[in-house]
Amino acid sequence: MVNHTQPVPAKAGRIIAIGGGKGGAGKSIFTTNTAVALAQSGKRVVLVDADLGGANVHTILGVTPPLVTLSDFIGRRASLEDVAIQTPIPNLRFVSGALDDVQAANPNYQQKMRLLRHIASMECDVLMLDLGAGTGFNTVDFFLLADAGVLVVLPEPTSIENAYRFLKAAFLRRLRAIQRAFAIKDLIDVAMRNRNALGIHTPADILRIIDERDHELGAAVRQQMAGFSPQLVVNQAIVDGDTDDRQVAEDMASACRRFFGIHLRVLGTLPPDDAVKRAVRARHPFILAEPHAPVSVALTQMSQRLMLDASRTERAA
Amino acid sequence: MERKDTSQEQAEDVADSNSQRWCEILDVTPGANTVELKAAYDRAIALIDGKSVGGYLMLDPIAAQAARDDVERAYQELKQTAPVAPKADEGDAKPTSPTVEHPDEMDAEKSVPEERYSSGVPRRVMRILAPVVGPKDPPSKEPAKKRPTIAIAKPAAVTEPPCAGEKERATTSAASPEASTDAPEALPVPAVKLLPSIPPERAVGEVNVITAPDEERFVIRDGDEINGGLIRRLRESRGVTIEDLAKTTKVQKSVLRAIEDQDFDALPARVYLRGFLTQIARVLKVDRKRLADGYLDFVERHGSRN
Repeated sequence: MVNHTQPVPAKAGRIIAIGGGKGGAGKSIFTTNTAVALAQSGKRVVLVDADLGGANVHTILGVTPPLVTLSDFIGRRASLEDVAIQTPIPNLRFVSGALDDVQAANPNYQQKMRLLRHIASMECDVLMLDLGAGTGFNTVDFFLLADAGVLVVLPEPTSIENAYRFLKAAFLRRLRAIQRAFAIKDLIDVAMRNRNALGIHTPADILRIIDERDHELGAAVRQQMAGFSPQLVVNQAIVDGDTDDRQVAEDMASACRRFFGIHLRVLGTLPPDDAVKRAVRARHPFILAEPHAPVSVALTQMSQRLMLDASRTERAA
Repeated sequence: MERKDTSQEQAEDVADSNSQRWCEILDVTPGANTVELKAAYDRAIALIDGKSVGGYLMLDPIAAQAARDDVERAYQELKQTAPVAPKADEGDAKPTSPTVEHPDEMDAEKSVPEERYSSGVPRRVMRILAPVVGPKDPPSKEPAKKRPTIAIAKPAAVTEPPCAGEKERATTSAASPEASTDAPEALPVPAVKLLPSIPPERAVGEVNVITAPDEERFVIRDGDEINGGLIRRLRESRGVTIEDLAKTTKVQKSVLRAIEDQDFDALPARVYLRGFLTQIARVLKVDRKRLADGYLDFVERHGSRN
């Protein structure tokens, strides 16, 4: 639309889904501002509000709710390009998830796959998918089918509890998605049914059971599951005197690695900053309104790391 | 487990892999000194107990107990050989956990025969699995060839996967929604063998593929479109059948065929397809990234439906 002078994007590593557990952790604000930051850095960005049924990215972005939304795409009344509206911010297009259509708010797996396929073929460099709260299939499926997943949490027990629940659900769902390819459905079914007797309490335990059945199979499945490597953002992280919430991020990553067998990586932390509150109330992204606020500086750096990581992950896969 | 017939060399390998596992559990680098170990131990316990908010409700009570056991064990094991830290640093080790010095688990530990740890699997696995395994499980008599540290005692039927899922596999795409739980109850409970987890590269990388001499092998040339036909030619020129490929990659034949046939509807989702392509490339000994990227690109260009 705006800038077609750039080379054709690297095909992969460009769908980034943001999700994870509890509402109110700052997912939508993080996603919107990151999308703006990337657009400002010259990337052609499409921001998709995939919080079907709870969409409000348009408000954070400060645009009027578009007349055409994802529900028109899901209902096959419009193409994805049609529903991607140009925002006042150069390089940034926006797909609204604001839906009044219950059916569209609960797409089935095929519809989600179709949506993802079409999203993947959009003409842009980066696609940011803002997912809703919770561990429902909508959220988890989009999170898994994207090229990269980012979890946003607050350094609070409630938020962290939900993040772990989300990770466990996503891990199992990913395992279920490949069970046919590896013919391990029955094995997983039996294992899950007898999980107490078999001592299955963490994702790592399920992989162990597969290993025990057939070591090479276990290794192959493990390798496929190693592709599940979400990134973690701790929002409103306080670093003051004895309190260092950056440690919470490191602790979560370490605990996931050691006790879950999930390779969670720390993308970074964002400081608490009143600039966020002011910007939301004024209905514009804080990164535009107050680009020098501590939170804006931290977010800009984080968005660059996110892009670096996307290309790196793609190469390592 | 009865692993007494392993050679001295194998025993050393096992000791090494145990030590590596303990380091992973404590999240320390090999050779960490006593003070570093103690600090790592305290951090781990705080995480498991949820005293650090980052570990809050991560583990259910049983898993937490098991993790605690692992951490205790790792600490005790590593402490024995750890270098003593310089005196000046010793003040840093402040006990932050109530279970630090003589937790109850450690007493129970003493009655457990040493060889139970020989596989590198922490005690919790053995304890939890004990009722399932039973004492009758015969030890592997065959010396393992490819990976000397691991005795693989596979049930005879295991190379062929269970076939209950066979029919539905043919009709549905591999990336499935949450599975139903209607599998027959009578399925064999997994034959449990205690094996250390090993890095996937080691396990999958080495496969015996009958290969043609290099000059006869079909290779990917610049400008080649990487599609199903090309993957088939790569495979056939190496004398690898679909069956061989399924056996070595552990990926079902139906998925491999769908890839070669460019049956887009039957292909798994992109993120999983990448993993399968990588596994295929590894077996066929071609550039993994090139094969995976090329094929995914091909799918994107030709496979997008409605």
